[in-house]
Amino acid sequence: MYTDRYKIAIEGHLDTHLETINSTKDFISIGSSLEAFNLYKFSDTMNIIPAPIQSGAGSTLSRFIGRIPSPVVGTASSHIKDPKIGGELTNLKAIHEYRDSVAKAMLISILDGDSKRTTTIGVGSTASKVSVFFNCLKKVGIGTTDSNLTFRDYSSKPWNNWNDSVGVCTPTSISRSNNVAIVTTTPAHGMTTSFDDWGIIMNLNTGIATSFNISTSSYPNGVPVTIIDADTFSYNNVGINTPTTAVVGIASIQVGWGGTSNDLHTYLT
Amino acid sequence: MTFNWPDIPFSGTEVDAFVVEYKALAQAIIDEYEIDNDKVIIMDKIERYLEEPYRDINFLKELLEGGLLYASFIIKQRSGGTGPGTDFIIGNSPLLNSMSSEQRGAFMRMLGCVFTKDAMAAAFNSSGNLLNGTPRSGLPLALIDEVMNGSPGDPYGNSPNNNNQPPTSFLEDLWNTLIGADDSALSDWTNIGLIMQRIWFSMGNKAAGKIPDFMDNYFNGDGSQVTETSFTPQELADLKAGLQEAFDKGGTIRDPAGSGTQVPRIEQFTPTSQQQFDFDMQAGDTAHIVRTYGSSLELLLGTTIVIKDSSGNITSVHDDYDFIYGFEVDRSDGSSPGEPYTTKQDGAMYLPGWDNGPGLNHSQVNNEIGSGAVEGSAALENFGGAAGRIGRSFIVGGHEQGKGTPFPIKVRF
Repeated sequence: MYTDRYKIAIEGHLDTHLETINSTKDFISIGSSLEAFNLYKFSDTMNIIPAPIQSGAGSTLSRFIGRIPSPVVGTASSHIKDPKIGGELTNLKAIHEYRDSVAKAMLISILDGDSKRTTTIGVGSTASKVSVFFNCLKKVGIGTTDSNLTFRDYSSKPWNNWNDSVGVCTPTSISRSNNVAIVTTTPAHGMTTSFDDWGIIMNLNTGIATSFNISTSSYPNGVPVTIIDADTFSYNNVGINTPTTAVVGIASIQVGWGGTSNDLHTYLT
Repeated sequence: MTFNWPDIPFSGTEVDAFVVEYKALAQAIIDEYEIDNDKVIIMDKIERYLEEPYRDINFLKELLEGGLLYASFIIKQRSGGTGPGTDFIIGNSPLLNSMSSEQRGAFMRMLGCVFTKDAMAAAFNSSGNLLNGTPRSGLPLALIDEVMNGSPGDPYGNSPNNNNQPPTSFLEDLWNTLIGADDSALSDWTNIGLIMQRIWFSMGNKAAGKIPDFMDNYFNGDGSQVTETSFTPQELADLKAGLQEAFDKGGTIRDPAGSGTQVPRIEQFTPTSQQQFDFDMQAGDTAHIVRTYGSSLELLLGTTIVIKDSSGNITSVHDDYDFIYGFEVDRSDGSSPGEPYTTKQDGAMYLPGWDNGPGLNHSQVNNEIGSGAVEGSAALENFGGAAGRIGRSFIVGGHEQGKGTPFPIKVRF
């Protein structure tokens, strides 16, 4: 089972930890030898928003275990601090998300079009790709009238096309059990099982149905879905258990980074 | 700047091309940062516009290196065998027969890896973390709470601290204390309260950090005199500074002996001839009763005797480490505090005459020192009473069991 083809060594792999990090699962088996297993994937499989700085309890712990911040010298800001002050343990999630953000920015910068489902390298210049990379990691601007205050270039990748819808479907009934919503559409939703990167932005109109809606301010590219069959899909949705209810509305179909097909299994011994 | 790229353990037309492009782009990105005199000078546009984690060139380099493998893996998964995006096979992971999330969780629980607070606390107490064979009640749960405080998944829902305030050193000090604590010296009276007490005081005064050692000596020692050789240079310096702190504060405090009146914090007195000899006093030296309540040495020394030279410098401190609610040294033979003794006696609170009564029983003493009377009230003035009350309850409990041997302290600076 544990052949070399599974032994994919990740640089700095020891920064794994024994805790569920969103969808990432790690564990260590201690028998006659030490074995470490890891399942790596993007913590957010739909969106591209760069992870902001995080601090907290882990910051002191990180200093305790010797991960001393390296110096950062800014020219104007008075509050730049080392991003590694996240902590090896409690804020490992932050490190994970920073790495996700950079990997996503590189994929978006390098690949053609909206960078989804493709392996084709874009034809733009290196300078333009550098520009896209930085655009991916910029903060939200606080204004649009003064060019100095416009941080992100919303007319350029990734902000000009990442959240584009690829279609719509029409939910006709919906239910919720154990915080999982199941949606039936008429006609068929059209999401093929050849891909596992589908997402959805629900926009239902009335009554309790609105509790199933997805806020685009929180999830601009929707939330991932699991295809059940041609007419049915599910998505995680926190709320009270709700029997199957007829609904009126529309759902925008989105595409993200991918689901279990992007699970990178690793094994160290 | 040279990248340390990880090996990519898979290949193919698409992924090979992607890796080449990735590395070239990474170098171009790093070139956007200017290096001057070994310091990273961040370009204005980067500093102002980017989220903070991506402004440090060194950290960005690590992230770029760390991101290559997974980005390449995604390309490999997408490329399949016949073309990009056309044969996206779900489940095309290196480990096809991997367990589901639920199966993995069940397997981990079967292995004993149960990441709940109670289970982790049980694991903490299961092997090497016992104290004299006894679980350290409360300690692991308190540690877990502290570690989780403000972190993702905090069971109390505290949000991560994003206010750019400098982190406190509390957790760091806590861990350092745990790592550095000598459990053999902490004895069976130790609990989280006293560990916290040690941390609390040791943060500001290393000498006060000796409270657990002194209490262990009180319970398990033979009453031998403690001198300056029992202190490190730093502890001695902090001990002296703590005494000077009391002199600097001056003024009056509520009488820790329970009279209900105000008494001077510092009170010069004329020593007897025997005391002058025992205190090594020279011409011009002065002797002072120092009540350290409300200062950093409060729970270490309480009321003590300090000798100053003619220039006002503190030269020595003399004390008996005893308790009016435990055992006290009997100095009725005329011997001086801080000198070896021959007899110990019940503390004053248990003796007739205390508060003009017949003396208190242990329950009454516990009520007294826990309700703001005597030293408890002094402790509440500054340091809060919890740690002190916990420590005192051990002294009372020890007395009830006949445990406790006072010892003299004579420290010359």
